[in-house]
Amino acid sequence: MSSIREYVGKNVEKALEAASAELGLPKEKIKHDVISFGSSGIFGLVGVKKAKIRVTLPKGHRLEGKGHEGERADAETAVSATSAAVQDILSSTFGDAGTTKTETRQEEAPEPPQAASQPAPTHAAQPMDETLTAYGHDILKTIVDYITEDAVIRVDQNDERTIYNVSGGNAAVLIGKRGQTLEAIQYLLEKIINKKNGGRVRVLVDVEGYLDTRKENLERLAVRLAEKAARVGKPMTIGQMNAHDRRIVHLHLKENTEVRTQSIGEGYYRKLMIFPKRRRRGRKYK
Amino acid sequence: MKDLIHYIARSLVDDPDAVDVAEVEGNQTTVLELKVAKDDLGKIIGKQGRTAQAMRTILGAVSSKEKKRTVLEIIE
Repeated sequence: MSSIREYVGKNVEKALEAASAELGLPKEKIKHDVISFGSSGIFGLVGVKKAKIRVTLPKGHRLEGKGHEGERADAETAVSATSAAVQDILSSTFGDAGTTKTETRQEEAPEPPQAASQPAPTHAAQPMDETLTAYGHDILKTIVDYITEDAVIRVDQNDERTIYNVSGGNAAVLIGKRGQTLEAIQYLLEKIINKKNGGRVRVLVDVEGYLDTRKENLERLAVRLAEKAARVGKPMTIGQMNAHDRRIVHLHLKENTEVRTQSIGEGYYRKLMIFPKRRRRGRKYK
Repeated sequence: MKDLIHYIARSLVDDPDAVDVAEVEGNQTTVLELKVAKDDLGKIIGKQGRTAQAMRTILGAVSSKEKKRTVLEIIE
């Protein structure tokens, strides 16, 4: 049997879900035309439109309490004609919206969160011996002395990396805008130490607990934005972060089942996006 | 300032003796011209210019207290 039924929902996805529930078919199998995409209006108050789809039931599909043999053939031809027409109109009107939507969806899916691609601490871990630690201390001291006076460096070692904690002096200049200077110092120091050592050691430079404060702030921000993303169902973006910052957010939201995170863009413009997770998604817009 | 760049550059390259930093004073900006051995150019610039960027950032922090801008140029 082939006939047409219409379903409405908050968005196309929801309408499809309704259709799939009623027809007992997986969403991917449902042949449908989108009549309207619906809109949430202004603040969800004014101009709310429901999305409407027209589902063409496949041949031989039985829906309880429906179906007259005679009607079918007529309906079928009518349907294919209308659906073709609808398709045309839709592709011309919604063409852009439709394609961009599918594209972004495809992009989203395969790439795992950026955190996964960062080196795992296990193979980077390599304890530094004392001479190397002292060498790093001297270099850091030289650089720091140029920036500010009276700074004291304390060296700590944990199983993953060596931590240089700078205190005293002008902390603001040492940290820089969004930790820029601190990051630069750490990067150069790590590079110089590794140059001497030939291996790969990880160092961390901290200024008076700045890193912890930053981490706390970022985690708070991450949780807040994740909640928001899940609530409004739209992706949230955090820009202007360095790799370390992004890593903190990725790791913090890893366990969160409501959202998933991904970094998009290159270099300075790289952003971290928090996407709300949907339980099921039909990604085909026919 | 010149010494700082000289020091950092020397620590990064394979051929420290080839490192040379020239300071060109201007009205408001000082230009530091860094010269290294040809094979070490990549080490000084770094992946995506990261090392050069890091040095410039540090330079910015150092020169901020002198109220003067310092520009780092790497000469081939």
